Amino acid sequence: MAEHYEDIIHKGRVVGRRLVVDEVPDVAVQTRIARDDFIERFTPREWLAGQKLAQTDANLAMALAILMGKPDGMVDPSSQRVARALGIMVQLGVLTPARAAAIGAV
Amino acid sequence: MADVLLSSIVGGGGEKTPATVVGLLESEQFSQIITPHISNIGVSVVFSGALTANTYKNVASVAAPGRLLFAAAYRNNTTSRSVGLRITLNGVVFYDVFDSANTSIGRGPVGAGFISASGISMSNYHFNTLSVDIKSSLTETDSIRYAVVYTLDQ
Repeated sequence: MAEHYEDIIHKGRVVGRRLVVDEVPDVAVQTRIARDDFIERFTPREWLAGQKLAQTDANLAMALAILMGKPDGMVDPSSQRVARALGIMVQLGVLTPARAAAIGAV
Repeated sequence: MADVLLSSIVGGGGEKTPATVVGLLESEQFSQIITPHISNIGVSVVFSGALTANTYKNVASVAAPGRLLFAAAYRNNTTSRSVGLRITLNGVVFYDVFDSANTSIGRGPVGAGFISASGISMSNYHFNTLSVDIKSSLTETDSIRYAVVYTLDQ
């Protein structure tokens, strides 16, 4: 993490400084950032068809979020929408049935 | 006729800055877990960055009149360490505590403000200059977080 001091400006002049440390986003935020990056570079059909996603849980979460149209990048493994999304991914060949079953929603 | 302070007539002028605080956590005492209280009020918390063992690091310094409302530091993981917090108002050390070593995440000293059941209560300490420093008993990076809330006068 990068740390630096930021000027404290008051009434147009520097009156002090404070420590600022850039945080690494938590997993949910990282997933959202990565998802947005995927959306910018590829359409869902392109990267699903081309299997551009590694089959990691984080990327699966992204794929599911996109398929479900959820804005926050988070998924609820118990929801029927996730089950449907996983089913679609199996049909597209992105997931093997065993892998989808392992996720527990199919 | 009772004495009347000039400051009460002028309004705000001459307000004294406290020199010390009595009754808060003292050095080598076991501090409280304060993260739930801080979370409840949405105070911005910041990582410590790199710390050298037993050496204070300045995290905020201000040279303009204002009021200190809250200042605290706490552990960010379960490694055993002591956490130190020093607050200097107008060049006078107001609070300087190095708590007892322990492993609880979220435990640490509060030097301005008070934790309460539902969050925190703010202090209202006037200052002309403010300096806040934190330290750890270990050489480490980002294992402590801190929060400082203050206002600056118009």
